[in-house]
Amino acid sequence: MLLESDNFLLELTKLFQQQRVKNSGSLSLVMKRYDGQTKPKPKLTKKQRLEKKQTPTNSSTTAHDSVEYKCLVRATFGSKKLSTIVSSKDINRFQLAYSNLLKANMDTLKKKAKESKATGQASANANSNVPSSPRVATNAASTSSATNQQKKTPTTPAKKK
Amino acid sequence: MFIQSWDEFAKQAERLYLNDPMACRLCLKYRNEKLILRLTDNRTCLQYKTKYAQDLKKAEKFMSSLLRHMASKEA
Repeated sequence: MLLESDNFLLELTKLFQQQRVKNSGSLSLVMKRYDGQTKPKPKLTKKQRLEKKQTPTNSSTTAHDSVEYKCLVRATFGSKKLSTIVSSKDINRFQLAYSNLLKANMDTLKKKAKESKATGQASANANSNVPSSPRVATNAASTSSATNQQKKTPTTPAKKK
Repeated sequence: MFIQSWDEFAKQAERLYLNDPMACRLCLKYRNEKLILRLTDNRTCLQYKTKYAQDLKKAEKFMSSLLRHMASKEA
């Protein structure tokens, strides 16, 4: 069932509620890039492949560049299926609403953090924020900045280019 | 394959996605008290499993940036 993004969020909330009432079943969400093509590309026949080899056309690449990408989001719970397509102009609104919805509804996860992970992160933060001695401070600052740089690159694919 | 550390997952997932944005999909599976993230391009499959709410925050952040990138014009 293809819905507008607002309706999609509404229906998705209902799915979460159903899951909670039943207390069983899994809810899956899928998101992928969407360029307007609904069918898979047909495989090239032998003839076409030969033609392509001889004349490497630019038409496909130029067409590819002009495509405005959208995001296809699907949700499935049991036999109920929802989907929506978000265009780049609605993405801010949708993303905010969507992540709030997820945060609000995935609340059965355990609050207590894993010991090892939590302590590791906490100590690292403590070192960089509250240095006890100047020597430690410089070390901590340099390492923390380095790790920050490393961390930043993977988590921000959107701002990369 | 399941990846144990979130940072590792995020790093590899991003690399896989940027390698071929059109072929990648991100699946979330939410089951009572469990959350599984899966990013796959039909060749490689990266999975991360968690039970904790703190990972949800990171996952949500990751999803947001991915969502933004998917709907942007960048190749």
